[in-house]
Amino acid sequence: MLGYNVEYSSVAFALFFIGEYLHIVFASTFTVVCFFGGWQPPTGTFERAFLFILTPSIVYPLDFLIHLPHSLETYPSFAYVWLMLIDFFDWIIPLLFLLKIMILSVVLKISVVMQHILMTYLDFAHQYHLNKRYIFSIIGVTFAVTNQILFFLTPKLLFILFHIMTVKFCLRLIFVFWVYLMLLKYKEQRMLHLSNMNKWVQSIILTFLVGFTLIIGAVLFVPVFGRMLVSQIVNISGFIAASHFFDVKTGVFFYIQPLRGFFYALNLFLPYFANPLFAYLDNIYYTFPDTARNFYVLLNGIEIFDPVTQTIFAVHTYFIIKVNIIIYIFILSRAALRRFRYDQLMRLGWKVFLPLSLLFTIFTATLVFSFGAFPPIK
Amino acid sequence: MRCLLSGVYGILISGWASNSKYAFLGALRSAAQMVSYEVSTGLILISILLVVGSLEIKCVVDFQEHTWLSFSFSHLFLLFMISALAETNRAPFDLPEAEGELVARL
Repeated sequence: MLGYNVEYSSVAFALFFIGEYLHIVFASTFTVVCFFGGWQPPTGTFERAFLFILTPSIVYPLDFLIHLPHSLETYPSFAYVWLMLIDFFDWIIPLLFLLKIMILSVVLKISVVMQHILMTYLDFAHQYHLNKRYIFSIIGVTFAVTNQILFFLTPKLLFILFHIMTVKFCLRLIFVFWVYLMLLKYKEQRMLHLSNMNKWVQSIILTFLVGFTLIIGAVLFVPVFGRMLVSQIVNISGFIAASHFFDVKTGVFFYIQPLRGFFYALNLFLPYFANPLFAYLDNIYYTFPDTARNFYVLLNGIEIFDPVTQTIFAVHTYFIIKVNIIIYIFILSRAALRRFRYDQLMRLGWKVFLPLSLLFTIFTATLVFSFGAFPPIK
Repeated sequence: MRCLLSGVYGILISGWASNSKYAFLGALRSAAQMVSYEVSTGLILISILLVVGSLEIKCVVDFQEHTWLSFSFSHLFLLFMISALAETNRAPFDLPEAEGELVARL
């Protein structure tokens, strides 16, 4: 509160923030390249993608309901009342878990039926030679255009909401398209006919989905979001907490800033042919000389050869979506986690992280060396 | 050998440059923080590059065609995420801009 007016008093402070956001974007792109397969689509794991779309929207509200009493313990005037109520209504919680499982199973069954309908529809579309790259480009263009229009038109508070909506919409499109691709593959191999889908395969997928959603909902989403919410409640009620926000408005402001920085960077610092808005120009690479293409590949290396049409085309959508997800993790950590003391921080850095990373490097080096897969010296 | 250009060195050099900028502006604390976590990120990256066997970004991505490295090297991924968080001087590690604590005691 004290620093708030000072922080935004001069333009020179903006440099710090721009540097920070650029660093976040940079770090997230690097994590995506090193750990999340870069610009490749999640091959063979459309169930996983499906799961990542569904879990926040289904599991989190239910988990919030289940853990609501425990989160309200922290509110001072309600604390004793809620503790008493928890003691009294403790038998409800397993029932709530059962309800969650039932709702999940119903939703997943509905989704399987919807998949079936979609497949028949897409089979119809395949007869009229709907091409892959057009769908890719449509997804990318919708993502970029809707985001940028909303970014300029809406106020801050709505922007995050619309951003989430567009991300969800694009993920849904990608899911539909992924089902379509799977279908094409199976039809080519003559493994699958639409009329007799394997019932037991469906059931296996369903059980895995239910299990994974339950595990991820229990492990990941409750601590993160729940603690976020709890910190908000604690701050409003006037407890001294080490979390950052003192106001919901400024909290939203801090949430969206890195995203804004990301889109600024997308528009300003990338050349025009690396912008996702230009993803639909397939034949652009043939008009450039070789050096320009090399520069393009150096810049973001997105160049995919389509064996059907014998052309090279660009895909930015998966990469952008993955980077967005990592940025979201960075943003959420601001709200969810608490601050370290400086000596603790330095101790963590020098006494825990450095030895651990050294140990892991030695470990991986010995593994690689023992398997004889050491990189050749050029 | 142009693949060396597109590899990690750009990232490392940029990190070093941002360090120098912060130091130039007088935020020695954040510079120390960034340097201390830069070491661990660099070591993690070295281990990943050892596994992949190439410095080219395209090779690193092609290596993960079937399984992402976040699944096979999840311990490295966790370390990398936390140290990247600390490097960005943000959220739980944002001591240089922690107003309340700067005023209060530290």
